[in-house]
Amino acid sequence: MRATHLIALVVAVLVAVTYFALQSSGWILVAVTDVMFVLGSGACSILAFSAGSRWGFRGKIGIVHSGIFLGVFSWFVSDVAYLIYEVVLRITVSFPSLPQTLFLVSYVAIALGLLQFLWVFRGGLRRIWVLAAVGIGALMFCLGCVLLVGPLVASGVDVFVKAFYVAYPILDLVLFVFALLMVFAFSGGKVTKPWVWISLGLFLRVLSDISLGVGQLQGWYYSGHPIEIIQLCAYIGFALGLDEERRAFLA
Amino acid sequence: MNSPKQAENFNSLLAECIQETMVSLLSRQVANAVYERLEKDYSISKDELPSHLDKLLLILEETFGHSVDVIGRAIAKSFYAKLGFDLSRLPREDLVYCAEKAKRMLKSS
Repeated sequence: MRATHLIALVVAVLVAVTYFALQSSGWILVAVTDVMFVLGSGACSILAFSAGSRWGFRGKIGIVHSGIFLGVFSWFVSDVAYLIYEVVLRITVSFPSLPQTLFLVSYVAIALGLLQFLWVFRGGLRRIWVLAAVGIGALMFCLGCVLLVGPLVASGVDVFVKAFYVAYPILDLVLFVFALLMVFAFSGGKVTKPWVWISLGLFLRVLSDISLGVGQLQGWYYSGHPIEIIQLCAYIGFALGLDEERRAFLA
Repeated sequence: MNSPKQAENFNSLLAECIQETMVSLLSRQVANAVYERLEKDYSISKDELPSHLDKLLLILEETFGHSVDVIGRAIAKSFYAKLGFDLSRLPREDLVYCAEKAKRMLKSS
């Protein structure tokens, strides 16, 4: 096990312990967990920029790295906005609001970056791999539907707000399928590993966004709920992937 | 390297190193897609590649930006190792320069 993997594991355990230890701490729980999100997305932003700088922001791969950096940086800005709303201003973030809109921006940036790269290498992708990636995506979509449709129908929230709850997991899924295709495109080369971690991060984001959606619609979710651990683990997966990408064959 | 046979061996060895390096660094799928683009955009086949290294570098640069230097250097390193030459004694030049230099070194040996 590499040192970075060990650090990631220790961080994940510490995050989980912190969540459970602070469950009855009220405002401290909100503050600490919001800070953890800012640190997570901040670390990912730095690593994304570093990976982009190492590979260069030119060429098709440069657009991929620019997209990832912009996307991850949007997460960071969004997390900072959450922190300001909840901890500094002590306002409960309404849905949808600026932080959530920023999250949507991040999807566009990452998706466009990945799509233009995959388009160039579409000839090298075997049909079976494309089918496998889309199939996995479809299975997860079905899982999302099973979990989300009931609460969506039962909930009395506005249709526009409901659209947001559906948009996140779907957009996560699209990115997850793209990332899987990147794994397949680079499989056998030295650049596979970063994309495996990034795919894992996106997979966790899908699970996290479905859980958060269900939690918010059913009313059991609150800021600092342990379900957020999944999202923080997604950041850890992303960070590991970006760190691997930074170190890839350019070392 | 005076005879056509030697030139052919030189080119086939270089083509082999290009393929091996691209597959090991990037993947077979990416290598195939690069060959496909060379064929489509410049009508250059895999075997003709050693005579059109500039086009290979152009496509790699369009795709991988300045990482093309690393890929080119890795190809040159593998090629020089197979020829029994020491690449570390050469200045950090691009693949085209390294291939030309190797050709000259073979001619004079």
